[in-house]
Amino acid sequence: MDLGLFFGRFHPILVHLPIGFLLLAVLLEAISKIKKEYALADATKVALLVGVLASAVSIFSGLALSSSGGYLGETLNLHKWLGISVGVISLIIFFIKSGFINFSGKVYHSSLVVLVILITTTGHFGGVLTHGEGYLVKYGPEFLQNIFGNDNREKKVELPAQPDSLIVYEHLIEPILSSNCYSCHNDNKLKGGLNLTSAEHILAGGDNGEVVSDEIYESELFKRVILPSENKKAMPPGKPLTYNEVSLLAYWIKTGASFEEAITAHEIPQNITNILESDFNYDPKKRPYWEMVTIEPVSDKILDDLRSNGFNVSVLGEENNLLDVGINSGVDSLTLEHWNLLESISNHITWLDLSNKKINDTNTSSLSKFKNLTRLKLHSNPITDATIKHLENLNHLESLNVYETQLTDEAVSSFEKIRTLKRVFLWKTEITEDGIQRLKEGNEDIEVVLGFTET
Amino acid sequence: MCNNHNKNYTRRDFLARTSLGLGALSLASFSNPALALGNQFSETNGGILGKPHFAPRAKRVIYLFQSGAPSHLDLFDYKPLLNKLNGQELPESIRKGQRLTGMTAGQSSFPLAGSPFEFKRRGQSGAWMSELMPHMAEMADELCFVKSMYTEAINHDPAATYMQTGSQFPGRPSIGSWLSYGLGTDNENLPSFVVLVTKDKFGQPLYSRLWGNGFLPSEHQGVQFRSGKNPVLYLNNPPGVSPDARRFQLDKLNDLQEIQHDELEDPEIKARIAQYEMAYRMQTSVPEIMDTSGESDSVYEMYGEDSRKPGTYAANCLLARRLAERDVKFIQLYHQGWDHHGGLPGAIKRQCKETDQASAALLKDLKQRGLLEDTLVIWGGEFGRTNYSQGKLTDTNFGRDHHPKCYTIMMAGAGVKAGYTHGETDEFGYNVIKDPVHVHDFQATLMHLLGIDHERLTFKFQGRRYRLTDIAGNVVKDLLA
Repeated sequence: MDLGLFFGRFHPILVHLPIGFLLLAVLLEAISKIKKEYALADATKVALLVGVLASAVSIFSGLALSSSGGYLGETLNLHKWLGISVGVISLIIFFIKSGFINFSGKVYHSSLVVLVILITTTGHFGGVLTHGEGYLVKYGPEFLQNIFGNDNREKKVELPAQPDSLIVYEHLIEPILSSNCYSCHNDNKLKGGLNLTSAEHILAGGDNGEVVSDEIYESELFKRVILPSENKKAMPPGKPLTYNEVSLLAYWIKTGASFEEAITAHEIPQNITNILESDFNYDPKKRPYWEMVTIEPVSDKILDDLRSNGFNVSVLGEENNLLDVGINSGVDSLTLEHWNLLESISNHITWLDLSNKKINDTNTSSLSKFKNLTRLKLHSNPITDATIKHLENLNHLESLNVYETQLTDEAVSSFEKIRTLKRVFLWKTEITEDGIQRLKEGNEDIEVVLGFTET
Repeated sequence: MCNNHNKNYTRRDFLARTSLGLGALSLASFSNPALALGNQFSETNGGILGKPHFAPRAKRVIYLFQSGAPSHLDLFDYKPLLNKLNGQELPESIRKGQRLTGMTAGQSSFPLAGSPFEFKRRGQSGAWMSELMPHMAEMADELCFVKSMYTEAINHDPAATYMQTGSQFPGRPSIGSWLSYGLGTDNENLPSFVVLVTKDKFGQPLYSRLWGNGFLPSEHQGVQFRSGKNPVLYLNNPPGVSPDARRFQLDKLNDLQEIQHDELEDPEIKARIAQYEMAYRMQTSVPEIMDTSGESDSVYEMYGEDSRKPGTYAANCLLARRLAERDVKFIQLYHQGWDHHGGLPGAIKRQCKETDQASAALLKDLKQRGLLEDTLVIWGGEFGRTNYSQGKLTDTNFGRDHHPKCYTIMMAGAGVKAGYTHGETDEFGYNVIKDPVHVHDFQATLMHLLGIDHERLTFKFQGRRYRLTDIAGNVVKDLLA
């Protein structure tokens, strides 16, 4: 039992009385001034007296409430002193009205105005203490929200395209906390002594100790949100978290409640993948390199130029400006002009099909310029190991099709240098078992595809 | 200009666009003259999309359609409970009032029929397959099984139409036509949609509307190559007509048709011109494709001896590979005869003998040429078969009726998880219990693999925008590699 706190908790109820009576007094004064009706003076005095007494009681209950802790900082200070000023000013106004003090009419009337301002601002900060910043305008028009700048406004979270950059705390957990918890657990108001607005504060915990631990069922942060909403301790009060939000919270705590780790740090369970897809339309799978490249689009003029010279050029996608290049069946073999044309779009080519075009080693040095090449088809050409040498510094080459060429084991040394190589097609080449063995030893993940038939 | 055939630019279009000002119309036509007439064709490769919605995984599809509905219970879906309860009645708790076809509705009993074929886990992935397809079993680690397909259609025509066009009612474009319309062609000398039907097979009938263009412009229809020695008749010029003469004739014909088009603006005229031009190019490209003399003996051996006989499934598989090498976008094979209402054990063995080796050889051939990495291969039918016997169940013989509630398809190649099984059916092989995949979901996923958002490739017809997946379909992300 804490009588002080018991009394203090009546403060939000009691404040309505001074607000009502003092504003009524101001209203009565305004009416009598306008209608020149002076008979209201007695009623005004009663209103003022009750207002003064009520504000005294409110002030004391407010002081009792603030001593309970759970409120801190600027807002509390402002509210306290403004509230006390209301009491003092209303007392002065009462004395003037009753004739105990003598001040001119102008002083009297300006102090009424001051009183209204004080009541409004006190009340506003009281609301902030109870409901958090921006409570009033949260559902109002944009411009109001911007004026009464609310830090805890629900930010539309943009998830980064690459799963490696998706930080679980920053992108998934913080938005949940900010829209559901910050209003009572921030720098100014710390219910239960708990501030949730930063990593240090979360780790510091509240009056009853830490709120996150290794076990979700020992983490107060989790336990409180899964309580049934009738339970007094259920958080957030009145508006429980959604099932998906609770799942995300549980996942975060289970994976160590890290504030820096990306989502790729741990294996993502199916339910989290489903939540990411349904709520965020997000696919946490690793994207292939060609989906990650941002590059200016090639102009239509250049594309048309290429096409009129016998190239089949497709842009990869609407948001993807890389190119898939092949050669028209009408073109028999590649000339120097063809190679020059390819070089003009060297950074855009990601998939290139130069198969069966009677290509030998001349001009193939251009291949080293295609920095974003990921798939290359050179099969059915009389190329030798010399051509493969030109591919050695292609940092993103994943698939190389060189079946039916004149490659020997020497090409394996070049393959070994292409660290990103995942698939290589070596049917009908002179590469031996030993060469393949060497290749697999150097690069565990590589898939070497040989033929199923001899010829 | 204002007639019922002109779909390019109607009074409605004029009135709708006038609000933007005629100036906007003329401005648009400066950037691309064809735009002024509505149905624009991008210069890239003829596809209306110009570029895919996002980077594709597959650039070609080979769809091995097994017409008649192969029995999933005897090929892929291992259900030992059926063997254990062989002969016992199908419980109502499992059937749950599922409608039956007229063929078995009159049966007094529905005895469960266990599969007489041995099932084993294959490859490193441990995929269940029966002894009926030993060659495909060798490729199990390349295959992606979808065990939880389901459909509403209970008979072949609506079901096949559903699989191919997204609706049980005829009149809609088929998958290949949508792809041709959306993505165009990668090889202008061949049609982008080729259909090969195994010769001399009987069973459920096939209709050209299964590879038809529906309401899309007719140059997007599937071109059926006849099975046999002459896939395209009258390819060669008649005696006395030289290629130059043919070209001259076509040019003059085009001029006349252009005049007609200027008057009527009927898009079908354009389609006709396109088809003539395609036929002209096919005069050279098709003989080149059919000339399989360059194929080595070991390749024929891999596909099986049937592959030397034009018109067989094996020969069509070999042809499919050759078409894929030449970047034909959608190659569809049809093999009839899977509709085993009776005599299943014997009949399915024969069917598998005709198809197993060649299907596996196709995968191997695509793989060794590096084509499997951007070609999607699909094997499947239009629905599954019942776990109860149609007709008398004996020790050695039984039949199975149509079953739409679950069936299996296999996929391999570009963009699908290799060595993976998706979805599950219950122990009776009757209902899907995990991860159901509807026909529309399958079609949406197929589109996705080709870089198309199935909800965005539409065609306005009869006042609404149609798409392959009609009004449904979700991409099955779990299938994507």
